Amino acid sequence: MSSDVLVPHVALTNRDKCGLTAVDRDIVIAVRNVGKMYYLYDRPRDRLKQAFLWGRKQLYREFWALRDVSFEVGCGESVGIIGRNGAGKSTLLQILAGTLTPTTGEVRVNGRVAALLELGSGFDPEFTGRENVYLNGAIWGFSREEIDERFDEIAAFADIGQFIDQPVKLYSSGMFVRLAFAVQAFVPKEVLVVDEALAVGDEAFQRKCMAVLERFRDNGGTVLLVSHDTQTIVRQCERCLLLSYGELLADDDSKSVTDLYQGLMFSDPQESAEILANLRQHGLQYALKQSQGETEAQSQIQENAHDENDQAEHRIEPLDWFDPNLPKTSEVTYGNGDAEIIDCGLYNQQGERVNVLTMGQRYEWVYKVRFYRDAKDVHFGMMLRTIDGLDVTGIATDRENIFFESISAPLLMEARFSIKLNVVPGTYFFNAGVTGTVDGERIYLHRRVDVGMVRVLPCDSHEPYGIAYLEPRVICKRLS
Amino acid sequence: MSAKSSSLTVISSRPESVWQYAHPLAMVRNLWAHRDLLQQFTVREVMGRYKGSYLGFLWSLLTPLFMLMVYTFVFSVVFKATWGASPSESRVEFALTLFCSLIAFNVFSECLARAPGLIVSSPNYVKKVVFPLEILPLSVLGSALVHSLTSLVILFLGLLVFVRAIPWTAIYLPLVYLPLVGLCLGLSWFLASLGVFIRDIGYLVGVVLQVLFFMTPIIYPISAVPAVLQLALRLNPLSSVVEDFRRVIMWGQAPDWPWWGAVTLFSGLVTMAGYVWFMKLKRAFADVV
Repeated sequence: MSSDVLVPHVALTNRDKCGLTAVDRDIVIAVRNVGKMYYLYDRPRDRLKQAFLWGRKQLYREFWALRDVSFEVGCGESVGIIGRNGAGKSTLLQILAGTLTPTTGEVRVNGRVAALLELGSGFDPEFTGRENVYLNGAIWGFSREEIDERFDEIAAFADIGQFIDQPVKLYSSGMFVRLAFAVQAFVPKEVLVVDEALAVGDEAFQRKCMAVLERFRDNGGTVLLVSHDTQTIVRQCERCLLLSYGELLADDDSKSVTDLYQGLMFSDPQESAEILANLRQHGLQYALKQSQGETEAQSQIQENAHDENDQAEHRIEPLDWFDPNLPKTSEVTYGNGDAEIIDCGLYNQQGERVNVLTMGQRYEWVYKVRFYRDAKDVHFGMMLRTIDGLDVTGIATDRENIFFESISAPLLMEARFSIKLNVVPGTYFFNAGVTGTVDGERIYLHRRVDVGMVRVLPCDSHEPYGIAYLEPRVICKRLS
Repeated sequence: MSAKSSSLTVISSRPESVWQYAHPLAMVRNLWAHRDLLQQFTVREVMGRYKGSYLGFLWSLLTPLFMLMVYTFVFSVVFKATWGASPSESRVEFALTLFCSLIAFNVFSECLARAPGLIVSSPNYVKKVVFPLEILPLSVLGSALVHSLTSLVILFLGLLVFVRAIPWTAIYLPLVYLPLVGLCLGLSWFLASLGVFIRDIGYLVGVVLQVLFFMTPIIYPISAVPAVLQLALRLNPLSSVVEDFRRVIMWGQAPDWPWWGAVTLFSGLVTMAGYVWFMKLKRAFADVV
């Protein structure tokens, strides 16, 4: 879809869909030098004092929630907006939606903007679902008759049955959102602003929402999507804006921008300052490479290799490396002190220590255990978990039919767990643990939770989502 | 009224001209464009008050009925006050006249008491959706008018029962309502927008309404006031409104036309000023709410 916008003659064919006229027909949203400043007062009464001082003295501090942001969005584009909390995302959306007036600059929107800023915000809890549909419809500018026409469709989409005639306050939060989204889905619009509103409702309903979103886009609609979830952005948008402290840091393809965002998120202040400096001086691609710890030379090789063998199934070099800037994880340790786990690390097949990995490759999780006291019935184990704390896989020596009936201290042992990393790209954590039986009870001699943090990168030709990478081979062919 | 497919919206930081709002026709056109929304919000305002109660809208009838019964008892049995309008005035008539004055004043106090918190209490309409906030005071006024009409019905029933006649001058009522509506609307817009920035307004309005209740000839006739103060009292536009209510409903007289004209003109100006003021401040609501 991005090419539709970039190539003028395609944009012309899209004109009818977008219903635009005159000069800037393929620009739906034009944001020029937009800034939003708030006055911050230390004490509420300073606000009143200031009003009577007529600017003779300044009691407030200026806070710029947005500063000099400019960009354009073409017809039919899907643009993601990403940034930390407080980066100015919501402020920007509110300005685009027309509920907030900018302090500087201006926004031109060619078409009608519907904002899913907070679903159901126009609902009155005391009124029934039916009454609220009419009320909300009226807020969106529909007459009673127009809603009468659409009511059955809306009710069917919300699919909340008899609850439609119950006060909204009795609804479950899921039902509430379904009804709100159902109303929203029937509002005609050229631009849809989505603020993480879709992360609600059950699975089936979420798919329904995505279907509406996709249909909207297929019909030439323009989407602005705000999310913390880089996966969602990469999947839904070709292009992404990165906001940080009110500034527009990057405006480029989703992949690069979300990578940069993650680089910034997972690095310490000094490192992120470096990335920012690189970004300002040399542009996005350079900053990206720096943040991923690649040297110029390496990326040069990589690019060349890429050119020569475009169809290669895997990226040539490097598959993995050690990024010293991955932050130290918030490790949790416990145990009875009879043993200590030391020297935890992940190694690639060349035996190099790594923490930035490529999915589908084989890696070895290695740690040593120093036993201080004798121990009985000892097991070694590891666990791989997602950033959400979901267990991906757990491995224990007893389940692999390796047993240590008794160990006499002092002793140093090493455990090596070789795994094929069939997980989707993302951030993962490794655990290490050693158990023994004390007084007939199996307890941890030592356990280190989240001791190793790694980042898994996609390999070139595959980009699965979910958790597991099952090394797919896909064939689609015409049968008739 | 449904979505236009190609509309260019410019959201600019440049300050708007106040004068684009300062045209009565532009105001009416803007409000008329939102009539569906206004109707729904008025219904919500009226029904919402008793929503969830068993008697529902019946309370709108019962409340004034009880009030009328209490006034009748107090002023026909306990106090011996007269309006002095007719020599044959009965105690019951005194109570009915007082009730009549209160109908007018209650519209005013209901609107003004609600106004300062109106915008602040609906942050969703300020921040989450593009909403014509200027209709909120109108919907409160609409609800106040509906309540005053139900009270009027009770009053007319009382007249039929105790006096056995409703003066024909009651047909002037719509004209008498006109300045009241204008005053309420203008002041509501003014207070609603100011209340966003200065929360103290709400408390101040409560006090002022109390004072105004006694500074308006509601529980006494204007003729009971020394001549010097009468003019001062007359300068309170509510005085004329309340007087006219009593004249057309209770005493079978036409409104006091010169005063009616002056007050109506004044309330028209208040409406326009309040509207312009509101529209000017509206842009900054989202910063503060």
